Amino acid sequence: MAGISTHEAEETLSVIRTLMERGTRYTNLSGYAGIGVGLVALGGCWLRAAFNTPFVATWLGVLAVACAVSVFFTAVMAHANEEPLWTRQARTVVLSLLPSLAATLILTVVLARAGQEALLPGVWMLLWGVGALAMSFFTPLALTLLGVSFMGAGTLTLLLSPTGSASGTNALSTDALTMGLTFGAIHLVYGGALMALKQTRRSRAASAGSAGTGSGPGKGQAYATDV
Amino acid sequence: MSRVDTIEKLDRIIHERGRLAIMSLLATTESMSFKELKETLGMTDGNLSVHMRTLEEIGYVAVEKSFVNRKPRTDFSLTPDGRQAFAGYLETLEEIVRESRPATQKPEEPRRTVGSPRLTPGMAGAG
Repeated sequence: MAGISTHEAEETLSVIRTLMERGTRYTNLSGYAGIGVGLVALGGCWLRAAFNTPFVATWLGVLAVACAVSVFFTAVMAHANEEPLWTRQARTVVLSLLPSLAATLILTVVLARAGQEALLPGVWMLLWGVGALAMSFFTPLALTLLGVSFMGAGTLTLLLSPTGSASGTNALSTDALTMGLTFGAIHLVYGGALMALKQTRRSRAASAGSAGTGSGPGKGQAYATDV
Repeated sequence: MSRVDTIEKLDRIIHERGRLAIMSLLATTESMSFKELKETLGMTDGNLSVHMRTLEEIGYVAVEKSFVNRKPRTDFSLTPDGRQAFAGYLETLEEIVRESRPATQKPEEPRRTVGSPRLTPGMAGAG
């Protein structure tokens, strides 16, 4: 057989490492789910602003609907890909989210009982950022950016938050605005970006296929475009 | 062992670029579907089929056919022989790199991220 140089051996090991990492990643992130979650959050803002619905109950309701929307679109994507929904990678991603989700629920109860509801939006943002970052170790890059954005927004919101209950008119407009700008807008941008990136990836794959380069990448090239 | 002997140890079946990519992916999972492999590696149906047939014939890969929502689905997994061969291939590559380095230079530990497997033959052999 043909010989192999040390450089080629090192490069091959590097490609193998990249591929093995890719095999452990969860790739069924749905752009529609991101957009759906953003719209549900905006719906929550509207409910709060228009009908002054109870603070904690409204946002816990939003969380429940957002989870359902997310699972729905992920299931649609898995079905379209002819893949099972509950894969090993999916289990890993969900398990990595659970600690921050549990912390969120505990802090929600504790702060609400202490009459510190105005701190909750910042806490929710921060902990959703932590959860997204935990999941991002097993997903493409997009979720990392989402996590960092929420951690930054949460930190800023907590630093600027007044303390006390969220029942006053000012507090109401503040929480509707901050939740709308973060859980609404950031998710919409995230979902849109994910869809655009996947479209680009599909186009690249199609052009690569039509160019007859089906035998995989050349030496040193990545095997697929990362999102 | 001489460098030539070491290079001769490289498994020719695995050494081909496409099959190496397939073996690397399958080493990290219990199984992967044809579509998942195709999308991850950016291969055409025909190319992937040819490689999978080669790997199946030599006994490195097991094939399981089923139906999901009345559509046919083909899953691939590494056989124990396949895992052993992949581990041996990695070991040989590392040997080539080690042999070229001065005795005083320690081999670089492969970078590892959270959630990613270790790049060692032991990993490749793990179930």
